[in-house]
Amino acid sequence: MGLFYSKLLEIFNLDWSTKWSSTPKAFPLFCLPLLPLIEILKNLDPIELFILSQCSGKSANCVHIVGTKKWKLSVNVGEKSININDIYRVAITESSMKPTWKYDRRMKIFFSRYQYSEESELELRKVLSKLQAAFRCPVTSFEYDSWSDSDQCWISVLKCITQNQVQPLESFVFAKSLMTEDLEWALQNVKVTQKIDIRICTSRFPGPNIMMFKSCKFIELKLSWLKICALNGFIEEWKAGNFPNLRYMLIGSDDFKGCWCNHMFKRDEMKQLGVRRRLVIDEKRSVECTGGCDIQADNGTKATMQMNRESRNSFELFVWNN
Amino acid sequence: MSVENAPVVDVDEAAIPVEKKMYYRFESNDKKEFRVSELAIQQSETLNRLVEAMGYTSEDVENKPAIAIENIDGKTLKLVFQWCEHHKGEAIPVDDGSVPKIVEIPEFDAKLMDIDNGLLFKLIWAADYLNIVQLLNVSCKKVANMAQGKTPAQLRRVYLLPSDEEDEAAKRAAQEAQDPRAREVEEEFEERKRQGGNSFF
Repeated sequence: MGLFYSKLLEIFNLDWSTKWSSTPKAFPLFCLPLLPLIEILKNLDPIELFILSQCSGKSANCVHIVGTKKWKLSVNVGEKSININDIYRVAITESSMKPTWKYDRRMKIFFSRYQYSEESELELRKVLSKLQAAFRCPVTSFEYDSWSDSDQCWISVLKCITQNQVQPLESFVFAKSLMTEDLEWALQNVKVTQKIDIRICTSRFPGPNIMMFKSCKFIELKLSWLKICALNGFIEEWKAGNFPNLRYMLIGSDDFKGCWCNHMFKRDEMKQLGVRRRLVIDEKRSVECTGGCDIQADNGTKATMQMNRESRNSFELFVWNN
Repeated sequence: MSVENAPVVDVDEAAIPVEKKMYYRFESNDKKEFRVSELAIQQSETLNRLVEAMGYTSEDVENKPAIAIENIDGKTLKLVFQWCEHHKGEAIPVDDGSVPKIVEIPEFDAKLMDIDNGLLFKLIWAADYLNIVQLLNVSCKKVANMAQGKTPAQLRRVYLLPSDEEDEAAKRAAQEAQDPRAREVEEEFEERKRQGGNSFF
């Protein structure tokens, strides 16, 4: 018996200090017809469903029937956390003590504490795999923008995501001084449909190819190391209709301080005029345009180019609907 | 004509015909009979369709045999009809798709469901069979509440969830029960192996 529970504690990251409340007389959940079973599962919140999924293979297989389309996961590698539906959070923390977990229902946070080991960096990936197996839903957002010690972790988590799902990410946010080949791998293999926000803090990186983000709605490349000539190429492509979903783009680069003589527009033409227009990108995002230079694509779509709104080295493009 | 300008007419209230309430008779599988109002029956989509299809008059209800509900016992059916009578006339709720589902258990329902888990299981089964949406909602909520604050090990005890090993053993037992000859062949095979034979045949 003792050995059996020790094994359980090991599997579920519990320890003997976990409070064991008295349980009511048993209820044979899996003997119910399918509809009532689904109704009961619908009443459990995502964290309770996750805990249920850890009971056995059978229970892990039944969680997704509540509605795969309703679930989405957002991974923040720097914070070592995974959000479920942007409301519930699984927070993974390191501890020198035995692994434990606690669910704070009020805060909607599940704290998973693991004991530090050489394989600690895999902990986030392990939990993510368990969540993906239980909810059978895609990761829609990947974020890594801190200076924590997760350097080796982010790429393994990202590879795990791209291997386990066909669906592209909606959002990819990245800010780090990093190994160039890892980021190059990411830019080659990660597909993003909505928002891409990259800040690279090393000049060794040659800068991303903007054409890789053709399907994005929101592009933010602060500290991109891009050359002015790359902007010419981008504007030509946008005018030709090769960025059909784009609503807003911001590119920051030290190179923009330099000579604009070869650019199709003069820098002064794109300065702010004090005329304020708000561009609503989607229900979560909106940006303000304060002037600049209007351009029109071949299909009639209108846009405004603007310089220097936030810093001296940033170029912005606002695409207007109608 | 506006309401204010309408002529005032004295009405003899006693002369107005009062619509007689109809009570249907149902019988459980252990031969217990229940009388349930027409309005209460509307909480059950299954029973409501059944009585509509039957088209009983007040005389039919009294003279014909009680409608048999063969899958549900008297103890469970009593709870079901108590619930229906209490909630008669209330709108049938529609799932708004919220995650998790938002369900409040009223005081009456909480008292009604203060029963052992065996009876609660039967009540849920009956609510599903009779398609009583709100009764199913509150009873499932009660079962879901059992999961609050529980560890996986506790959940396995609360919901009688078999471990992977137990599932595997049950599967093997079911296979063997289906084909007893398979076990005999397996035992024979093991015996021959022990005797050092290389070939079974």
